[in-house]
Amino acid sequence: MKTPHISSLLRRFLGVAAVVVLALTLFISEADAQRRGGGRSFGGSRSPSYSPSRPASPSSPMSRGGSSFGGSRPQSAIAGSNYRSSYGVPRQSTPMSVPGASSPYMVHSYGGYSDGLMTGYLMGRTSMMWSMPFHPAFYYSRPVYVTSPTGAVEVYPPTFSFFRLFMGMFIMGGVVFLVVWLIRRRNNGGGYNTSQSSFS
Amino acid sequence: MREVSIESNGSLEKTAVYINGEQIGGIHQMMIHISEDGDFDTILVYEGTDKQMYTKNIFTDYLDNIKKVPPTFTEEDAQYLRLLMIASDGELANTVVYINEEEQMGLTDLIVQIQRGAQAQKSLTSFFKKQEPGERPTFRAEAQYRNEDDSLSTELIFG
Repeated sequence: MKTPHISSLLRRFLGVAAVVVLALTLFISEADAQRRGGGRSFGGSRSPSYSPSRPASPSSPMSRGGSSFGGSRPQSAIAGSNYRSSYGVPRQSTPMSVPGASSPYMVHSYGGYSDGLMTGYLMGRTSMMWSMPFHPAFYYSRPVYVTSPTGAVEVYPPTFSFFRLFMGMFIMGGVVFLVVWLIRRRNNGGGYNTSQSSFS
Repeated sequence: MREVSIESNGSLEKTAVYINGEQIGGIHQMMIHISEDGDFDTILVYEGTDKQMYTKNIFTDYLDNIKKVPPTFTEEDAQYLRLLMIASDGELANTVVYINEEEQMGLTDLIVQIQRGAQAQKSLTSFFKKQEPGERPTFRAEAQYRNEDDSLSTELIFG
């Protein structure tokens, strides 16, 4: 009776631990990817050979062929219009000088908590706590950066993410599960070994 | 006359119950309360070989389908265990108590209450449900003696 009892507890513990670790890994890897190479400017450090990925000056219309007609519309322009239509009219749009950027970003403010988060991300003033489900910032996405065909960068505020809410609930549920299990295990005398007991 | 023995170190995981020398298993609860005032409550709750639950008087009832298991303690184990044996036919006058094969005299009260905890939780909701007191493991074994000066003293049997 001893081995199945302990192994079932062990299986349960390992299962919960695996789920929690997987959830954290998914989140951390996503956050890390966004920080390091996912198109964001903040976090980590700039390499000495850093150069802006966009051209220093917009290419002239003539160099592209001199006409707005023909060819296809750049993907960035489609993305920009999509974001603008989904976010609506901003309460305020202000150019903001961002560390590491050669030209000011056009920051669209819509008010509320996400504005503060956006400013924090833009200025690089983030905290490790933002990656924890115990902080409200965890439940918001990163700001959205849209580069227009002219090279200007527009920034839209983070949005509430139900996926992250679900993940947060999942992680906190796992933590609560572990705590309750540990408390009950202690109260039950550590899940006694019944291999030598008549009370099995 | 039936002989009921409990060999233990005071913890549930190291507790074996013998009836007439044979170790039994599947016990959920064992309650013995014998006092010189005439109390004689001896209850055994066990799961039988047919998976049914039985509640019986230890010394007077026929123990239907009780599980008999091979002895689990070796002689080496027994060195660290204490053995309580009660020989009785269900009458106080015919009841003799031994601890480590030594007959006990001057007993006024004997209480043994051993109960295993609830089974492992079957569902997630039951995991978070508060356990009822009856579901918690219990181990209590005390003997009360009358000393020569008429004072009473209580001792743990397996402590």
